[in-house]
Amino acid sequence: MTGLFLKERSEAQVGMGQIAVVTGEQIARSVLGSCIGVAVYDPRRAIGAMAHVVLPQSSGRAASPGKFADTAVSWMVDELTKLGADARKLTAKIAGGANMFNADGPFQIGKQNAEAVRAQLSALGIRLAAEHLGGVHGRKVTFWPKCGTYEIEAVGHAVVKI
Amino acid sequence: MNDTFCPTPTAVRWDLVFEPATRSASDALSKWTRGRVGLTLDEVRETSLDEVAAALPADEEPVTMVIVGVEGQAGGRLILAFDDTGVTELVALLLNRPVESSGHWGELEISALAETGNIFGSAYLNAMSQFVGARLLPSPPHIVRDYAAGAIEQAVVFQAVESDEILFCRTRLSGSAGGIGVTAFFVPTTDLLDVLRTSVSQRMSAGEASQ
Repeated sequence: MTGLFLKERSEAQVGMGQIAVVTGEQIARSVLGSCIGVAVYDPRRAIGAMAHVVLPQSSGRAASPGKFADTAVSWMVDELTKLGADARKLTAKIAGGANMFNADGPFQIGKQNAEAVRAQLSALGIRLAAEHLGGVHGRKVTFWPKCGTYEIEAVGHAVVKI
Repeated sequence: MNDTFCPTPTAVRWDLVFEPATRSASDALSKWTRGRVGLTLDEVRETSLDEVAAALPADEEPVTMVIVGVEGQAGGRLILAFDDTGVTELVALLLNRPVESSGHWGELEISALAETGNIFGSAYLNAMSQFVGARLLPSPPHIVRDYAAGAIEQAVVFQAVESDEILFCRTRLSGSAGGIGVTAFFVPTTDLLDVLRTSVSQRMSAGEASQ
């Protein structure tokens, strides 16, 4: 599945590699480890999308666009503009990229994911308004497109809204 | 019209490797917990990436996890996930003291949980080593209280790098009364998955040849 489009349900659970498009009062939720929850929205139109990005680069692989940073962000921009969002007003908030196993070594996938998402947002001219990245804990996140609020819960930490 | 014949693929008998590994870990944990923890193989699932989350518990409440890595080039993760009641009961049992739900874990409690992971991981990987004919060693256990979905997500990333299909194995508590609630997940890396697939295929071929 590429994108989740809600019609009657008010809440989308965004699984690995998925993207949910949400409008008005609808919300998108996800649980993140090393993945990045990328929320892109048009604050004036109350429309947005959340991608659950798993890996930094697609390297030409034909898979669900939500799986990779480079394909997820461009897919969301295309879809949101088709639905009436103003591409120049799109704003992003991102969270995730943890190292839950506290592992050393060169393959730090959470960090690589975060860098790839930032680079892709920058390349497409999307303003990154806030981020909540890294650490060794997973995150339970909720995104409201109507107000652009992105709420983050992590075990042992106070709830944060960015 | 194309006359190419496409044979129906034979289903991989994952139970050939995961049943004995689960039985071995279950026997070891049962001895360690005086019969209070036993595991039965629940499912071995090869699924698309976006369906992994659907296969996990949906309640999104934090659990206590004992995480054991598979050392060496092959790699993978074993994750024992206890709900709050289960982990409290387990610690009380292992330390021979009344059940208290203070939620505070000192060195002694962490050590008891780590030893549980060590016993589980050693037994599981010993059985798997015998099956594949190579040594698979457990890493020192890592104890964490967090969201199970987040940890499993991070474990499957190593397969996701190579493939859009993910294999993971889930075992759960056997149905004995008074048991401690625990779910175990095993997620191999792509390298270990290849080793397992080859061994299972060879065993299946040997079985067919002897029939």
